Parts: sequence; structure tokens; C-alpha cells
Amino acid sequence: MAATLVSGVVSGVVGANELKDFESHIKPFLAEHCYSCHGNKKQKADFTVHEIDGLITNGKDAVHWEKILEMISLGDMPPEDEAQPSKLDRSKVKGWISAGLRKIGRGHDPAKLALPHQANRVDHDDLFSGEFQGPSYSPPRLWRKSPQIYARFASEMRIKVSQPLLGLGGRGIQDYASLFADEAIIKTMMRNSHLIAEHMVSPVRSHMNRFLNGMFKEGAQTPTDAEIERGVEELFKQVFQRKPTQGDRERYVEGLFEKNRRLGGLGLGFRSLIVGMLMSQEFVFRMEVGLGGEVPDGRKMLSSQEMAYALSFAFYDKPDGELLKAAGDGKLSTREEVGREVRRILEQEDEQKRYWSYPMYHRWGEDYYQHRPRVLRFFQEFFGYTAAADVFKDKERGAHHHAKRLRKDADMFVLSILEKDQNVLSELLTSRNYPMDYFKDDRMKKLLEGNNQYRGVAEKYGEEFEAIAKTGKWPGIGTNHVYAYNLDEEMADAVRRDPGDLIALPENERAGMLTHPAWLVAHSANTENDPIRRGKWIREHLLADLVPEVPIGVDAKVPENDQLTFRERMVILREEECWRCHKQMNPLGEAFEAYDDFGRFRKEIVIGDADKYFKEKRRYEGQLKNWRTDLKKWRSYDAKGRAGKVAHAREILAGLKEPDKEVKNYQSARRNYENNLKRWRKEEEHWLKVDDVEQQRRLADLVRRIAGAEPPIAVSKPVNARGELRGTGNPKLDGPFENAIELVERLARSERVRQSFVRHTFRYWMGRNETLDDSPTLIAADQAYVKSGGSFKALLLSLLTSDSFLYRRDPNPNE
Amino acid sequence: MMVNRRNFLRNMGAGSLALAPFMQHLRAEAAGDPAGLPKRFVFVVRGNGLRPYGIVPEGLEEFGSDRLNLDKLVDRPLAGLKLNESMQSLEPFKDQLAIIQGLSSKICKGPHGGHFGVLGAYTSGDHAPPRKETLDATLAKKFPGIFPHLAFHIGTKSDELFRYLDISAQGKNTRTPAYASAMLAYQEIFGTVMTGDGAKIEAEAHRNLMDFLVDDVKSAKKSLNSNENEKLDHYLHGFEALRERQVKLNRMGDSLAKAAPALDDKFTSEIETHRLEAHFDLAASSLITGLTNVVTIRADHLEVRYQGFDHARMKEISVHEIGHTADIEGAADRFDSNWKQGREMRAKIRTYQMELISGLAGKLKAVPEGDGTMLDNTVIVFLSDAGSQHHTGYENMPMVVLGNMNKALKTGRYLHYPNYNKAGHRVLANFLMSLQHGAGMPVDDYGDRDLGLSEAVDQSGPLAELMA
Repeated sequence: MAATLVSGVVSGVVGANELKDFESHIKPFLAEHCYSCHGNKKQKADFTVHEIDGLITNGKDAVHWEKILEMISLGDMPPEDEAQPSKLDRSKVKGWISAGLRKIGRGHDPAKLALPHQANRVDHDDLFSGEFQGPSYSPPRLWRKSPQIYARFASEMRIKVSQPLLGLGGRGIQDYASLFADEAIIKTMMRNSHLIAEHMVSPVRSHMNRFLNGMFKEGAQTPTDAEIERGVEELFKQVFQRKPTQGDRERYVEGLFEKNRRLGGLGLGFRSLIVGMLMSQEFVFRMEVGLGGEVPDGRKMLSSQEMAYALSFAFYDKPDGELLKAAGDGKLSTREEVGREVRRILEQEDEQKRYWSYPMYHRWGEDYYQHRPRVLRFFQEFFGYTAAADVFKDKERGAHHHAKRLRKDADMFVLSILEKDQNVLSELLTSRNYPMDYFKDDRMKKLLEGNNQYRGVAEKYGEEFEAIAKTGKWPGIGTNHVYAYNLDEEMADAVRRDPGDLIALPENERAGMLTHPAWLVAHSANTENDPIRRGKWIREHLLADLVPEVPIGVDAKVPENDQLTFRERMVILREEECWRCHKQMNPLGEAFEAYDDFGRFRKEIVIGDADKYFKEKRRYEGQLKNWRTDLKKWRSYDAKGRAGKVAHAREILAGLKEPDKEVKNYQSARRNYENNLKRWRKEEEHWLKVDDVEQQRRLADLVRRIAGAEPPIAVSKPVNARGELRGTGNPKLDGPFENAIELVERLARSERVRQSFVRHTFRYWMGRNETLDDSPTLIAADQAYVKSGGSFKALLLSLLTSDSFLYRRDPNPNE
Repeated sequence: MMVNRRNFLRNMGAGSLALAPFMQHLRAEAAGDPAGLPKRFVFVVRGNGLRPYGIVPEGLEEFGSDRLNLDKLVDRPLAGLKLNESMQSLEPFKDQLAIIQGLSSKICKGPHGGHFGVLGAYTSGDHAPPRKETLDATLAKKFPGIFPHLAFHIGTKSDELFRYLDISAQGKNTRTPAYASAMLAYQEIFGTVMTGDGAKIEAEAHRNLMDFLVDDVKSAKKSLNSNENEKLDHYLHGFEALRERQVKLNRMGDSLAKAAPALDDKFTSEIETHRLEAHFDLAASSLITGLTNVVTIRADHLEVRYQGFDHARMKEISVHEIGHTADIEGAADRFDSNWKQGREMRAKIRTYQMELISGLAGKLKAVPEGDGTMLDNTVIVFLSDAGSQHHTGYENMPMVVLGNMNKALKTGRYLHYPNYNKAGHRVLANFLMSLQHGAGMPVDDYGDRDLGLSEAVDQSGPLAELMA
């Protein structure tokens, strides 16, 4: 290929040149790699390239060219089993086509390419080969604050405001530096800011800004200039965590506060100032421009202040006082100093002052029970299990389904593994130890004793209660857990006796997050599993690949058929034109057929009206259980037993006393008395009537019923959870597997999976997609993780002290 | 409110107004060109279902049953029939009324309401963010005003300012914000042109603030590269758009202040029914002055507790609990009440909401426009996001439609479509398409198709029976 194509930009805008390049360089490429299936002889997928217009800028074949570009960018074409072009050739052709398309405003939308999951377009092998040596940096940017940061600020103001900001949406990473604030967001923020401003200057004392409130209290003196100055300083401390500079005084104080104060008084002046501050770009965006020292290659380091904020928001949703202090004291400007601060934050113990109880969590949100919210949030967004609450499940099908509690279980699963901090990814993918909703508080005993809800439990467990309460943990598991995790009575009791993170589920049933009910439900449809989405998740999150979008005109719905399982119905996707993309997803997602769409383990799949069958089955089982209990009961009676029952009834009747007319709630007490009287008289009468003959009759009746009870018939098929793993790059791991357990164990051993995980942590903490320049950062982070025995803290430390994080450089300095 | 539209226009003074889209129609109207007149839409959505027995005219009680088995279309003129007791207030508008039953919307999901599926005809589950804009937002874009789309929500507490609706969306992941506080709505819509010194000072102070913010963003732009500048440009545009809106509103001057609703106690009342009245007042004024052409009102939802009715039980329980109270003889309910009381409570709310709609229609009818009145170019759609009852399967989405869009719709009738999946059955999306056809947006497909319906059921295009 000629030198003109190396940069991917065709020299000259004149069409003739473009056509010449097409004839001499692009056409031969297409002829060699594409014509055989997309030309004269064969037209696979009804797509041909042999008659394409070589002049892209004509616009005639723009759609065609876009398709070609997409296919060769993703590496989906030529197909795997055909000869592949060299990397260089592929990239040159890519460059030529995208340059041509860009001229007519077509091709990839840069805004779309900046989205997290598109980052998989950057070649994985290139990123980790060591060939690309950087230097690494991020572009200078304003990172718009996340909804959580805003909410945290508002909650510290102790004011209820509406959330104006939105994340990226969808299921993955939510907070990216590419997000911006537009009119709709501004409108809501304005409203909130006005509300906050009004509260701050209100004469009724509020705890927002005591100094200001004092100024406007009833009977307060007109404040002196010094006091006003102090008011301004307090505001700057509260909103910007810094002192006002000379520039601030000119802009904020002279330019806004004084202007409006002259118009309408002190109150108006301060209100305007407050709104101005809360709507300023300094408040709404995080500045990461690179105001620190410059290095010879033109990169600039973040300034101390910028670092303090960047590190704060890497872990928390608010600026950290200690980091700001270190910056102010001049102790936060080198890589080593950053490392020291990161270590300090990572080593901080959880104060354990918080309640881990479900009801409290429900009220306050996840911030309430762990102190580095951004870390847990990464795993929530990476695995996407929080969406479990968004997937609507019919109450009639799953009466015991409780998505919020499952989500909390998943949170605790992640936290328990992070706490140990060893082989974190591998544990997340394969651990059999699932924590289940439990209380955790040192003041447990007092709490339980004072709480009526648990009195019955305390009585039931007797002595054990003391011992358990001393551990500071108490189980909150309920029926929903029994169903979700397929616990039998014994296991459920075991969980209740030993709450916490050591509940081992059967090895062949569960392993890691991908078989956790929360993940399974989050990636399921309303009434079915969603193997395609699950396969896509694995492909894009663990195998660093990108599945092309659904082609236009394809109605992506699996046909209904009440004789076949979902997997069998999906066999139509094995048609060649569908399988091209679906082979990347289905063989992975189908591994989870061993679980239903509630995440419950199953060995058979009931088809047809499965819901009706399960309802019948439950009814049948319930009835059987009742009869067996009755049988046991009747067998235990003899003449003595029966007499005892009569005596018991008589004792109670004798003890019943009519309520005193003076007593509170006399009416209901009276009703109670009468009901009890009726009931025990009936009991007595009943037992007096029963004799040996009657007893035998009842026993015979129950025995007959139990013998005759017929379970409902269902058409069921055995679970087929077989699939095939491809794309790990390791021939020992790639290949067919029997079930999801085997799949996740192999994934946990894969280097590519581990590296893909590292790429995602990069995206989350850098707030942007990685480029080839970031290769050294990624390699170092991966190494740090491996060498530390899989410590997530080591991985984070490496990322946050990397060049990518600390340095800034404009990627297009000439624009 | 008696405002003669033509005089209103003359007072504004032609030279003072920029030819923004919303103004063009006024010019067209002043010139007597009906095609240039905008279409106006009011969507009133309530919770708990719109009970069939509560909307069928007298004489057609059989169609008020929940268990109706209909396999033929019913199409009866309303002339000669007396309206349902709860709809008495709509008698004066009978010829422009269309009562429609039998449309299903099974793409709606959710045990208590179909969320964005109702106005958007796409699947939308509990807690799920909206996938795309709903019809009211689409219409607002087509017929924009200074305020492109106004929305109101009855709110739950008196100090609630506003809320994001769960039935209306401006686009993907963007719920429509709705005013819950009538006072806030008044201040933001009409307050900016309040006369008096206090108001003037606030207005100028506000201008200073906006200027400051625009400068603040502009100065930040200097130190950034092109990518980041684009981000700040969005931010800047946001401020500039707000600033521009103020300018437009200011230019409308005193005429706007005259058309504003009378500010009285109900704007700050804790009583829900007062708030709702205030919202309807604001909707009427905003439509009449041309500030907006599309209004969405969340007339109630399950958490609301009606304090304003003279009924002891209603003061205690929420709309959700009313929904769980039986209203059919012999049906059991969660509470120890009786079905008659259930009917009574529902009737009170329903009658009241119909009265509010009647009031709004009356105000629009009082304003001449073109050869008729403003009501001729307006459509008010009243339905529940929960179909025909509290817990619904979405087989029937009863609705009351007022207005014929300048004779584009055939009104003055009772329409009842055959049961789900019977021949001749239609879906709610078809109704939404009818509105679009009448609005000059002839689409034949809208939203998600209900895949549970057989191919024999026509889910494409408008309702032929409704189109003129």
C-alpha cells in the first residue's frame, strides 16, 4: 500500500485522486477478502461489494460503506475461518473508509464512540502487548458531577430537592466525563438553587448556613462590612471548599452580589450570590484541566487542588476534608504523595456505626452501609445486578420474589470478597459463599430486645440467641431467600444460625455472581430467561469484544411455541445470517438455562403453561403436607391424649374472664372474650365426641387421601445448559462446556477475562474510554493485580497513581 | 375567563413580537386562515382505572360491565341519550364528546398502571426509565409554544414543588417534569410579568444573575479544548434558552398578566382538590394565551388522599385503598366496607374530575377563534393509566374524549370495540394514531405491537370510526 494511506487521510479532496486510490488500493483488498462471498458468484446476506461506488463522497453507497467499515472494525469480517488481512492492511482500509465517510457527515458518531461499551473497539491484544508505550494522559476536561454527588450535597444541606441530573442510562457505567448539562437539567437545578438560597436567608433558623441565618434572624442588626465579608467566606467554604480569591471578589461579589444588593437589599444580594455559586460551572463540573507542573513532552500534571477533588470523587460522593487539607498544606503534588493518600483511604476501617439491616438500607440507600460508595458502585454497574428491581415479575408467578433483597445480597457478596481482598475477580466469579441479608451492628442485643418484631425469634432460639446476638449479626432472611436460593429447611436453619458471609451453597448449583439470583434476574425478561443478553454481557464485559447492533428491519423476538423450551425456540437463530452475530452470544448465555428467570436452580424445564403447573404443584404439595401433619397428630392421640385435650379446653374456659367495663378498648376486649369462649367451647365439644372409633375413622381417611393424592402432570424437558466458550485466546479454556459452573470456572482462569475486567475499572475510574496510549497504565494495573495475589486495592492504587490519571494533554493541540 | 382573542392580539402590537413559531399561528388566525391554527391537546390521566359503569350513558348500562363479552362494534350517537350521572357537567359538550371503550393496551406492563406505555404505546415496566418520548411530548414539539409542554401533577403533600411524571416522557430516560405546586407554576408561567415594584426588581435581579452565569461559562471556555467547549456550549445554551424565554414573556407585557388566572387561596391550599382546580386554571390560561399547546395533567395517583370531599372515609384512606374497596355487588374487598361505599367514593372523584374538564372546555369555548371557538381546535383526552380498574390486565382502556380537532374527528358518540382478540378489536395505539392523523402527522404504526393479538386484529393506522 502506498505511503499516502498510512495516515488514513487521502491526500487532496479532488474526486479523481480518491477514485485512483480506490482503484489501486481499496479495490484489490475487497477483491481478495470479500468478493468470493459478496460478489458475482455468491451474495451472502444479500450484500455485495463488487459494484460499490469507489467515490464515497458521492454518497450513493454510504450505507454500504458504513456496513463494510463496521464489519472490518469489529473484526467480524472476513469470517474467522477465512484468510485474514494483516493488521496494517485492515487499519489502513478502515482509515480510508472512515475518512471518506466523515467528509459527508457519515460514519461513526464520535459521541457514540465515547460511550463505555464502545471502548472494546480498541484492540485488546494491542493494549496488552507492550508495543504501545504511551505516554499516557487524559484530555483536559470538565467532568460534570454525578447525580450522587449532587444528592449528597443536598442531603448535607438537609433539604429535599429534585434530582436534576441523569447518568448515561442503560445498564453499565453511569458516570462519564463526556456527560453534559443541558437546558432541562439547568431548569431543575435553578429551581433547587433558588430553594436553597431562600432557606439560607430565611429568618427562620435552618441549619444550612448558621452564619447567614443569623444575619437574617428577627431583630438582627444590620451587618457590618466585615460580617458580610465573613458571610461570603462561609458560603465559599460551604460550596467551593475554599477561600474567595481576588478574582472571585470581582466577579461574584462586585459583579453579582453588590449589584443585586443595591437593587433590592441584602437578602436579594445573598440569594443571587448563592444561586450564582450553585449554578456556576465550578460547582456543576469537576475541573481536571491540568494546572500543575509541566513535563518536557508537553503533558501537565493535575494541580494539588485538582488532585484532591479527583481522588475524593474516586472514592466518595463528596470532597474529602483530609485530601483538601493535604493539598492546602502542599503535601499533595507528587505521585508518591498521591499514593500515600490512596493507601490511607483504602486502609481505612469501616466504622461499623451503620446498620446493615434491610429496613434501614431501604430507607437510606446503599451509602448507608459502606463507606467507599464509589467502589461498591463500580461492581454494581459492572455486573448490572441492581437492575433486578427494574425487571417486572408478575406477583402471581413469583409470590416470594423480592428483588431489592436479592440486590442487597449481591452487594454483600461483593463487599465480603472486597474485604478479604484476595483473588477478587476469581472469587467474584466462582465463590460458593453467598451472604444473605443480615443485620450487623454491635449494639445488636439491645436493638433486638427492644424490638417487638424479634421477640418471637429470641424466644424461639433461647440460649442460642445470646451467642448469636454477641456476634453482632442477626439474620434477616425470609421466605424469599428460601425460594431464590433453593434452600431446604435444614439449610435455611443453618443460615439463621450463622448469618454472615459463610453460607456455602452446593458446589454444583451455584458459583459466583453469574449464578447469583440478583444477576440472573437483572439480565432476564419478564417471564423468561434472556440468554442473548446474558451472552452479550459476558462477551462485552469479560471477553473484551463488541457485538454489532441489531440490523435494521430485524424483529428481535423469539417465536412463541408452547411445546418447546426457550432454548429450543431460539434454534432459528442458527440460520447463517443470524448466527454470524448470535454465535457470539447464544452459546454463552444458554449456559444459564439451569436457572429459571427468578434465578432459581432447576433440573427440568416445565413447558406449556408452566405457571399453571407450578401453581398446581404448590397446591398439591401444600395439601399433602397438611394431611401428613394431621395424620401425625391423630396417630399421637389415645384416650389419655384426648382426655387431656378436654381438660385443657376446660381449663382455659374456667380461666376466661369477662373484661371490665372500665378497661380501655372495652369493645374489642369483649369481642376477644366472646370469640375465645366460643372457640374453646367448640374444642371441648369436639373432643368429647371423639372416641376410638372416630379416631380410627379419621386416620383411615387421611391415609386414603394421601395414598390417592396425584401430583399434577407436566411436560418437562431436562435442562440443557451446554454451550461453547470462544475468544479467551487460550486453547485450554476455549471449547464446549456442560453448564454454567464449568463456564465461570474457566472464565475465572482466563487472562483475557482478567484484563477485560481491568479495562472496565480503567473506564470507571478515568471516566472515559481507553486508547492505545493508555496501554502502559493498563499493563501496570494488571501486573499490580496479579503480583498482589488478586488484590483490588493494589489494582486501584496502580490506576490512581498512573499517568493516565494524573496527567493531562490536549490530544488535538492544533484544533 | 372572557378574553376576545382578536382584541388580545391587537393589543399586543405587531411590531413588538418576533415571528416565533407559536406566534405564526396567531398571525394566521388573525388573517383568518384555519389551516394555520394550532391544534391543542390536553391529556388528563388518573389512577385507579376509569370504571366502565361510570362513563356509559343512561340506557347503555350493559356496556358498563367488567365482564362484557362483545364481538361486534357498538357505535351509538349520544344525541337523544342522557349522559352518565357522573358526567352531567359535560352535557353542554355532548356533540363534541366521544366515549370510547374496548381498546386494549397489553403492551402496558405494571400491576397498578401502564406507565409510559399509555401515552407512548411501548412496553414500560415498574421503575423502568422511559425508552422514548410519549405522544404528548411529540405533539408539543410539533405545536410548540413559549413553554413547549406544560405538565401538572396533583402531588401528595402541599409543600411538594414538582415531580417527574411516570406517564409522560420527553425522550429516552427523560421523564416530563410536572408542577405539583400551583403557586410555583403560577410564578414561573405568569409571575415573570407581574406588575409592581417588587416584581420589577426581581426581574432585573434575575437578568443580572443570568448575565453573570453566561459570563461565567464563557470565561471557563477560554481555557479548554474544543471537546470540552462543546460541553460548555450545551450548558451555555441552556442558560441562553432560559434567558430568551424570559425576554419573550416580558415582551408579552400586561396582556399576559390580564389573562393569568386569579391568584387565590387554592394556589397554596393543602386540599388536593383545590390544587387540582388551580392546575386546571393554569392549564386554561396557558392554552388561551398561547403560551403552550399541550398540557398533561396527572389528575391523581395512588398515593393521593382526598381531604376535600365531604366523606369521612375518603379523608382516611388513599386512592390506592379506594381501589381495593369493592364496587361490584358481591365482590370482596380488603377492608370492611361495602360495595356501595366503594361506588360512592369513586363517583365523587370521577364526577369532580369530569367537572374540572367541563370547566376547562367551557373556558376554551368562550374564546372565539377562526370561525368558531378555541375548543374546536382542542382535544381533551381523559383516561386512566390503569385502564378500567385498579388492578388491570389492560384489556380495556376506557376513555372520554372531548373535542373534534376542527371536525377531523367524528364525535358525539359512544364507541365500544369488540373484546380482546376478537375480529374488529383495536388497540390504544390506534387511538393515539387517530390523534396524530388529526394533527397532520399521518402515521400508520406507533409504538410496540401487541404480539399476543392475532394477525386478524388491525393494529395499524387510526380508528376509522373516529376519523371524519
